Amino acid sequence: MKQILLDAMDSDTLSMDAVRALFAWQVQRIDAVGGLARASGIDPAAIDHWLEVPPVFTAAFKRYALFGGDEPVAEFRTSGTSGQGFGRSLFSADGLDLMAAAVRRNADRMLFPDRVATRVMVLAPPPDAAPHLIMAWGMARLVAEFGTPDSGFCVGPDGLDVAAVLHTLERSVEPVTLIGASFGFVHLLDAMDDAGRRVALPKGSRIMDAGGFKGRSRAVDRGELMASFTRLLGVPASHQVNVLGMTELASQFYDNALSNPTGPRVKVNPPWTATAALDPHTLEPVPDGEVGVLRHLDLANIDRPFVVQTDDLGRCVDGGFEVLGRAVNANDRGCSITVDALIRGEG
Amino acid sequence: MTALNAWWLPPDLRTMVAAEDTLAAGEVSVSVPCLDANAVRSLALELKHRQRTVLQKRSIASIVSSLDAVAALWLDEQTPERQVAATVLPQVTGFSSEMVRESIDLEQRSSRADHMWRALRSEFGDPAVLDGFAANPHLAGAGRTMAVGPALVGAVFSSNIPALPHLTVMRSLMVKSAFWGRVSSREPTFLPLYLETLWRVDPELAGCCACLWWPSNDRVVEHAFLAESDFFVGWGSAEVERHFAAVLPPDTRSVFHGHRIGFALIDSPQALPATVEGLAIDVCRFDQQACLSPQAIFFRGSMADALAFGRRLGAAIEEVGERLPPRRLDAGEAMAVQQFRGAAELAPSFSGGALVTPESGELQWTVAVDRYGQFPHSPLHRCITVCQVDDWSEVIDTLGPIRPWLQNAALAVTGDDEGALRMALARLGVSRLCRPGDMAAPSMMWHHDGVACLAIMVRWCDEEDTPPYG
Repeated sequence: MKQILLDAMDSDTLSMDAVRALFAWQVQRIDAVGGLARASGIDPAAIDHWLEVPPVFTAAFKRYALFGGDEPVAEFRTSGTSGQGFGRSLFSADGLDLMAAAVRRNADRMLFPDRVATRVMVLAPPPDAAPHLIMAWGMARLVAEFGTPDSGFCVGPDGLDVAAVLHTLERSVEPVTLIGASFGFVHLLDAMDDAGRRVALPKGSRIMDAGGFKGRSRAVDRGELMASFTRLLGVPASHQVNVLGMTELASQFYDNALSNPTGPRVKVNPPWTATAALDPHTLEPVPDGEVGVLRHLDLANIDRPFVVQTDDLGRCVDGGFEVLGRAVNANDRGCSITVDALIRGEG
Repeated sequence: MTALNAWWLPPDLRTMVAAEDTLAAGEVSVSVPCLDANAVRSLALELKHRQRTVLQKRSIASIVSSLDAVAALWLDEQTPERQVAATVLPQVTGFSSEMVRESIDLEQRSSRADHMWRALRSEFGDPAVLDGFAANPHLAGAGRTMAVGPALVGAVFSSNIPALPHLTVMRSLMVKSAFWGRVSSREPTFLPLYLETLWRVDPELAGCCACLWWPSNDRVVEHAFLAESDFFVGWGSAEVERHFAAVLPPDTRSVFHGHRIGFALIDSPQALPATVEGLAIDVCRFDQQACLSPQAIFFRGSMADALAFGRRLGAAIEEVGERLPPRRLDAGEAMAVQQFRGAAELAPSFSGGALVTPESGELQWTVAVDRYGQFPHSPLHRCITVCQVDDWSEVIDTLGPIRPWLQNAALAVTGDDEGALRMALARLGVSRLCRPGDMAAPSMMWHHDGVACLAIMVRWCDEEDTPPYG
């Protein structure tokens, strides 16, 4: 199965043969997927479109350990979940190989399409310090495969060493790639603002920030963050790439800023993935350009259900899709409330 | 129809509001007052003056009688204010028209004289203590007692239940306090209509009341309002509760009606048709948005029996839904229901449970039958988990982490452990036990949130006749 999927990753379009093969494989391997297929009477060999695969909802990932691999060799945990359920993702050796392949192919096309060698600096702890952080694992792959030898992680046991990072950045003469979680960048930028410091990173430098969606007022934050990247770090919007990653998936979705500099900014589906926007009432696809809840397919997700229904709001547009925020918010209407919201302290 | 008001003042005080603005509440536009701190303070002075000159001189019997007459009018479909509310509240809140009418009926049925007198007797013993000094046989000798309400009760309301804010007006007047309150931006229309009826019935009593609104971020007006309120009654989310806890003057006494959670405990042999029908009503009423509504049903019995029970419950909810159609859902609410279903549809693979939904596939209601290590999550909107347990001790363990929010438990249980179960629930903080079918229909006598809501507002004066050890 791993080889079928690796071959599919080299295809230019979504391979329906691989979709059918992985669906059939997961029906056998993952009880939940098998149960859903049986309940809906769907024969994996007979589907014509990926949306015929019954999706597994993110709420189910948080509640159940959904794993169909031979033997888990890695476990990652979801941040910011409700406290209800597992919020963890298991990976087999094959699963890690596929995720690494996905990271490599994606970064190659989306972050380094110009083949510029850069020093990759990660605003996150290294994997050995944060073994359950899936983002750290992926970023370590980028360091290893794309970074110059002086690349590395900037978060130690005491957190982000802002002074050391600035020291390095200010003295950089070769292009730098700064990568990290969006909120990690906010910390760095705030510290720079407070100290009145600015850096003009060498031409060709770029930023990749991985943004989660925790129901914040994202649209405003995004614009401010991008302006700060330019103002404080000297990195133009053309070299700023936001990445959507989910613990439930093995692949990420990158902005097209570097891969398609002239087009409008969208998230791009690599060919082994697909994304659709659906009407939240009916779960039927909405026309391109209309807002719906996003569903993703990811052929690199061998161990866990590979079609995931999120509650992110977004729309499919030419060349990719846009994410607009969360559909589901804390219940704030009054004295009855969902248990989830209470435990999150969002009441 | 003339413009709807999100505020109400006695007619002779309306000049205190110099200007009005408009606010969008759901699908309707309402008029809101433009208030400043001076206007708020002037209004407080006048309301407190009326409390002294009017309310202190009124008998509790006359107050109860007028409030009863208002409730009777609100139970009459022909009453103009009720007719406006029945039209407008569905547009403002999204609740179905039928649910709004049910809500008005439920609330007003427990607002009649009989319930008021019983609540007064339950909390004060002899309600005559509110009219003056009354004999108190528990004091020494010929000791007497009087209960004195605050001059002005200030309230800030939430929007989750249509046609509920009048309860705080009634409680204020029942302890002879003037009342003023801020209505929620999301449902500001009911209270002005209620006060209009009160004014028609008893202008003197209504003259001691005011319904206000100001933007929730107007801290100047809010500060003036809180500074002038002698007792504060808050309704709303934990965030709102934290806010008022921080800004309320330290010497202002208060009670806050915040988030609460309801649930049911059903023994397999007690899963009778009446139990199932009652729980279906409990799930549908207010679409679970009441603090008393069930969010989970714990079923003690086999999984096979729990499955059968869940299917019967789904059919019963479907039937109740014909009489009480569900609230319309926005995109986020619809997706929350989809996610609940998405987790529940895996129950067959993990626990032998099931997901039960309408045959139409639409989102009107959802029953999950499952086993759960924690209190099952519900997004509300008629989504409920029938949680199969072998022993009530599992439930008690599950309730531990959500103790601060426990409110209401419907019980249909049998067996030797029944008495111990009731006491365990009370000790965990549950403030109401009832039969299935009665969850969302509390009486005025119930100690709301476990609090004696009338008695907590008063201060007592005891006239001690004989030295106790003399």
